[in-house]
Amino acid sequence: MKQRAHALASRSRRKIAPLFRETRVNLLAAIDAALADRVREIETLRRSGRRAVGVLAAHAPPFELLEAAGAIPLRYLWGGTSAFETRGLRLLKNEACSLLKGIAGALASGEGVRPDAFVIGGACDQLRRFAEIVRRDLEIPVFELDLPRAHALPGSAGRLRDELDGLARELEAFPGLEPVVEETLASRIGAWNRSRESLARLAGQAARGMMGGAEALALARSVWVLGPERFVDLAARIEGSGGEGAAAGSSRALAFCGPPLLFGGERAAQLLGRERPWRLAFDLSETGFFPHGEPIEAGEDPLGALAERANRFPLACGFKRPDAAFLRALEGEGRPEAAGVVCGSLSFCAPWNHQMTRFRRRTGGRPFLGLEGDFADAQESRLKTRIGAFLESLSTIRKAHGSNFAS
Amino acid sequence: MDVSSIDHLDVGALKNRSLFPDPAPRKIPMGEWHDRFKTLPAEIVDDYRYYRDLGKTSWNAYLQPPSTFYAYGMRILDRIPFDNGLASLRLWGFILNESERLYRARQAGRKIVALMGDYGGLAPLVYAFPGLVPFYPDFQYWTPFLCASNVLLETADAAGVGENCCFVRAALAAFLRRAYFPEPDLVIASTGAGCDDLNAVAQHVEDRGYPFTWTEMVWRKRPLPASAAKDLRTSPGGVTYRLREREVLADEYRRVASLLADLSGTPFDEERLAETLSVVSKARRLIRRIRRETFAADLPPLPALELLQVEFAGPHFYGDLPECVSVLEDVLETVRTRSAAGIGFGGIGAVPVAWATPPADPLLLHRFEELGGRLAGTEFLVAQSRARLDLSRPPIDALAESFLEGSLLGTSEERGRRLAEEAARFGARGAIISGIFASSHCVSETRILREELSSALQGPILTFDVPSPGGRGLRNPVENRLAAYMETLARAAP
Repeated sequence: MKQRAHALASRSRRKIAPLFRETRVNLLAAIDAALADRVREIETLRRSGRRAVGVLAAHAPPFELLEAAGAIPLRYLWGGTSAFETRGLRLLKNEACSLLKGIAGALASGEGVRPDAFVIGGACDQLRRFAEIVRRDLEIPVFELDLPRAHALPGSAGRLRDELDGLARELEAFPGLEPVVEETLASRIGAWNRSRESLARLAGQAARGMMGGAEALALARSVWVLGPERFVDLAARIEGSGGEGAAAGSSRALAFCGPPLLFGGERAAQLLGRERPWRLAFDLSETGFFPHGEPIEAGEDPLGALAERANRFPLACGFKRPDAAFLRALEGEGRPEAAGVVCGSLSFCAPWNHQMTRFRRRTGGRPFLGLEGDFADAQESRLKTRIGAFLESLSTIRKAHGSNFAS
Repeated sequence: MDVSSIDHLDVGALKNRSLFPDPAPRKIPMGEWHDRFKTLPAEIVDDYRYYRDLGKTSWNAYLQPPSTFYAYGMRILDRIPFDNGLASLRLWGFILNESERLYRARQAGRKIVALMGDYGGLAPLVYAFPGLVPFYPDFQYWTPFLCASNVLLETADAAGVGENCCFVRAALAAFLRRAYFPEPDLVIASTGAGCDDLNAVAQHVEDRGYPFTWTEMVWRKRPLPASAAKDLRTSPGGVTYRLREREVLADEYRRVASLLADLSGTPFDEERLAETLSVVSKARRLIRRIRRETFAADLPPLPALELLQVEFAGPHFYGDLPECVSVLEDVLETVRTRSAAGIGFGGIGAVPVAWATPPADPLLLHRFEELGGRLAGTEFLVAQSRARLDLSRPPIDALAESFLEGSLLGTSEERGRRLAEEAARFGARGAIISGIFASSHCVSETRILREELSSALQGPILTFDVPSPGGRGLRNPVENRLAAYMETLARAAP
């Protein structure tokens, strides 16, 4: 009986795999094409005088605010290659965060996309100090945003509102940017709300396996570059394109958390098994689905609404104190079922790496894989080995425990 | 010079001080202090008490020879040479006694408040409530070196906070092992513009279930041109900040005050805080004077390690504010006496060097002096704990404003510049920046500090990471580099 069930499942997987591969190629290609279009568009806009403002930090500043000031937000999502990291050593010690080394190295050597200014939220010590390096050594103007870390304290949201208000005034004074008008800000909130709604639907589809996990991660990341209008367009094409349950039969439903970048798009596809479908149960990573959260009610005080949401943002647990909300999310409260949790962190990222053992205890009993890596090419085989072993272990656990974990 | 001819003034009410005049200043080993201690008049031992408000008990005398603490497990003490002056012996005894003092505080019905991360911001506020005693578990950072043992670091490693975290992870281990201080009645952890390693440690501590609260330290952002001048203020120490930054911090302090009021069962009293701040102000003044006189004297009247201990009195006064003031007065008197007499440690040719970031390994400071160095400026991450208090302001505002001078709240450039100014004032010919591998601020600030110091001092700058204790193989390269550096400076002497 068992053998027959196994044989049936194997045949079923063989039937799914070709469909899955085809859908993956289309989806990743669609995302790449949209990103390439957007990059060209940004270049054109900049040539026409529009200002690009670089953004670091997971949950601030709200892009709505930058767009309302007429800026093109550029979210720096990854540190490039190991070559960039190496060049970054001119400005940072080797044991600095990989992302910052990579960005520093790229910008210092003139190879990265150089924004007209940066907004840097003081989400962590290294970011806060990086603001000084950007200004002092890379000679790029910086707007510093003091993000409350003790977010649950009375007055934290109000304090963040003051910070955002100050930022708006600083942006207004920057050449080429505009005063932030409430109506414009509300309009941008509306645009991002539409992308949030799309993301929420796509997250549900991802959890049901209507797209592969790597594709889902790539999709969530793309919104930061595409912006809400283009993302909504892309989402509409994806939602209408079929790919029916391509990975629905997959027993590998994974939850993700961590700072950005270790897993993104094509890299995730390579690391997480091109040939073995897996689906994204839920994503708590900083560039994932859930940072965007629910739609925001702009109301009479759109800036206050943005501040309140950014202050509540529960998922950048590496920064927020206390992090009870994140831990509940990690345990899966209100989330689709996941077979395992993967936390992909960056080398020398103190807020995340020093917490791995805490996260391991709070996965609701799910197997947990904590990874730490950088952008070095040499990392690939190590990460693949560990992830491969983790995925195999999930299969073993599923066989041993039946339906205790996600199927 | 015959130092016995120097008048020994009464220090406070300690009339017996003159019974044990200081010999010519010399560093002596633990064994020699052990022998010399036997000649100390009993009246003097009897005089030095902590928690004096409890009277003279059978247990609150703290003057002990270093050998006592060696027996307690501080194995490094047999390798540290000590200032042979009584004031320094008193300082050591007072500091090393702190752990016992905390347990005694618990026994005496006092409540223990563990502060984490701010190094001097909240401790004065705690002292404004009767029956509360503050301490910083963070300073267990020194314990692996004092005890010449990696036990705490290994414990932290097993808890998931390993060598990619600064030595402050020893604080987590101390909580886990429950043998270094009594279980606190309240933990107040400061987050925000501080060290991420400490933040991570505090997050683990919160999981332990203590009564716990977070507070926010503001980021003292560099003012931008668009900032209205009316929003900017200048602290007594010359640091520019935004009014909003002080207001946010003051609000936080008020919130913490209400928590402390609940803990102590005594309502917050602004007048009592004002009185406390006047004592804190005195203590900070003493620290500033001791530093200044030590750097400025022809011969350092205080060894580098004792000076480090004085600087670290600032954050929480080692758990007994009034007694700490008395200890500092004693130290200052000694420093002045020696300076006036032209006596001190090392030779006239000692090379003045500034030092940024306190070396976790106390032996390095001693080695530095052995190699012919003397301190001429320090930035030990605790600038906020010796900042002037503007007592004309409402006390909470005064406290918040002084904290804004904090070492880590602003830019590394500013920190480097402040040290460079001090170093130049005291004739430093070089600077040492000691860091800790992977510490969240060291990775970014080291280069900037080096550049600021280099341009100001025109001399070479030495940077290194302090290796963990027990790693002789790791310490040798650091000591070799230190030796080569001091030799280079000495040869370049004018």
